[in-house]
Parts: sequence; structure tokens; C-alpha cells
Amino acid sequence: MVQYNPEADDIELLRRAGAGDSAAFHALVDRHAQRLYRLAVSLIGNAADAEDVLQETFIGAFRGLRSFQGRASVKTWLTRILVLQAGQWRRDRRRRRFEPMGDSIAAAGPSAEAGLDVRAAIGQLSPEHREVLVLREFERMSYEEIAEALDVPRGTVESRLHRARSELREKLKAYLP
Amino acid sequence: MNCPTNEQLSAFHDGEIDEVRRVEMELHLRQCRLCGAEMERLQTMSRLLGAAPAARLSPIGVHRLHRRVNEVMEEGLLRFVRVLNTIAACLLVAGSAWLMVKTRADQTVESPMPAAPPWVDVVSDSPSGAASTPAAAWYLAEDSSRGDD
Repeated sequence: MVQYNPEADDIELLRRAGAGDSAAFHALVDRHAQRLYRLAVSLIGNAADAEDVLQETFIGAFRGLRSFQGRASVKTWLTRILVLQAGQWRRDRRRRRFEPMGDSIAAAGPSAEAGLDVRAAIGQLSPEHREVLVLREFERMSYEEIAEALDVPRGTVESRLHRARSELREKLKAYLP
Repeated sequence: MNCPTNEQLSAFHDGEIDEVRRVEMELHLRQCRLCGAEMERLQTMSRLLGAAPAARLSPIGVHRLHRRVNEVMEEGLLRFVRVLNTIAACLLVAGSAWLMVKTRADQTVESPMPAAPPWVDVVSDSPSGAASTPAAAWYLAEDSSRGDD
């Protein structure tokens, strides 16, 4: 397998992958897998399903290589595919089990550990609020990047983020000044 | 300056406001206890979120991911080969059909009787005048040659 320079541009790797260079695509997978997995766990709440969603994300990216138009960064493009796959996963799960969304993370239950409480509190947010909060707080994405990844206007990002923080503040008030 | 909305404070916290507005808000936050307290809550919440345990994909998980991607790549290749096979099979069937039709057409165009040799005309023009058709002329020619023996 060809080893790519870690400094090689994501766009260049994507271009080569589109031309049939499988090693370039595997290099992209290596580069983004951990970040996207973290995001998938935050959005979905359990490791096994997050791994499935991650696989579907890269499969979707591979099948849609030619659809990448270069308007957003590869990172934002992959994030958008992951968010869509996570949404699909939620819809499938609801159809199969008729369960309300967002309770898998909450199922971790109350814990003395603030970190786990934070995860549980994030799991209780609505998917829209959870997405925007996770992209901002964990991924450190800018409002513009979040707007591109979620395909919503920047104003929507601002208002959803504000509401997500207000909701989270209520849930975590024991830890806040 | 009036107190900013919570949404504006949130954007300030994220560094998502322009430079002029940022300077104004910094000044305001130094003077307003309520807004200062709100900002402190936002910062504490970000620290809490940052301290939450980060999930990490295991090396086996990474291996599974690459294997799955390989499977999809091979599926794509197999689909391409299958399409090529289908095209080749279609060409073979069409070619065979064309050859069959062409052979039949050639056979129809060919005369059912063998062409008579040029000297048959001599026989048909014989004074007896019996050979009125090429077949009859051929027969007479054969017959006359047998008679020569």
C-alpha cells in the first residue's frame, strides 16, 4: 500500500481516490476515523452502533466521491455524511423498536463522575440540539462550518446552540456557578 | 451599551462576533455582574464538556473499518466486471444471430441447380431441338457423352 505524507492535502487524497487510488482513500480513512468516531459516539451514545455508523459514513463517502464539489472542506463534507447517517440510524431504530430517541446515552444513568453526567445530559438533548452542541464543543467547528455540515443557515446554528446550552445548563446546574 | 442577549454572549464565548462588537462586549462584561456571571457559566460548561471522556476507536475497530471499505471497493470492481461480461455476452448473441441470418440469406440467393457448362448451349442448339431447358440440355449432354463411350 502507498504511504501518503501526513501533510498531503485532503483534497488531493480525495482527488486520487476518485481516480481509483484505493490507498489514497484508506489514507483519508486513517486521517479522519478517530475524529468521526468520537462524533458518532457523542451523537448516538453507544460504541457498537457508532462503529456501524462510522463504517456507513466512509462507505457513503466512497460511493459519493464524485459528488464532492470542493465548496466545503473534506472534514466538513465527511461530518455532514456522518450526521446524515446518524439521522438515518435514529429513524431506523425508531421504526424497529418504537423507542424514543436520545435515551441511549441517558441510559448511562446518574453518576458521581461529572464527565459521565455530561454525556448523559447531552444524550437527553434533542438530536438537533445535540448535533450543534457536539460539533461546537467537541469538534471546535466554527458556526459557518456547522451550518455547512448541517445544511442550515448560520442563524439557525446560533439559536440552536443557545437553546442547547440553556437546556444543558439546567441539567448540569449542580456543577455550574 | 445595553446588556447583550444570551445568544450574543454565546457567540462572544465562541469567538464568533466581529472585532468592534467584541471590544464593546469585553468592556461591558467588566462592568456588568449579571453578564459576567452568565459568561462564567458558559466557560464552566465548556470546561465540563471538554473534560468528558473522549471515545476512541480501537485498533480492531480501525481494522474492521478498512476491511469494510475494501469489501465495498471490491463490490464496485465486481459490478464493473459483471457489466463487462453482460456486454460481451450480448455482443456474442447478437453476432451469432447476425451470422445465422447472413448464412441463410446467402443460401437463398444461390441457384438450386448447378450452373451448366458453356458447351451445354451447343447441345441445346442441336438440330434435334430437344433440349428446351438447361436441365434437359445438361441431361442430353451427359447422355451424348455416355453414347460416345
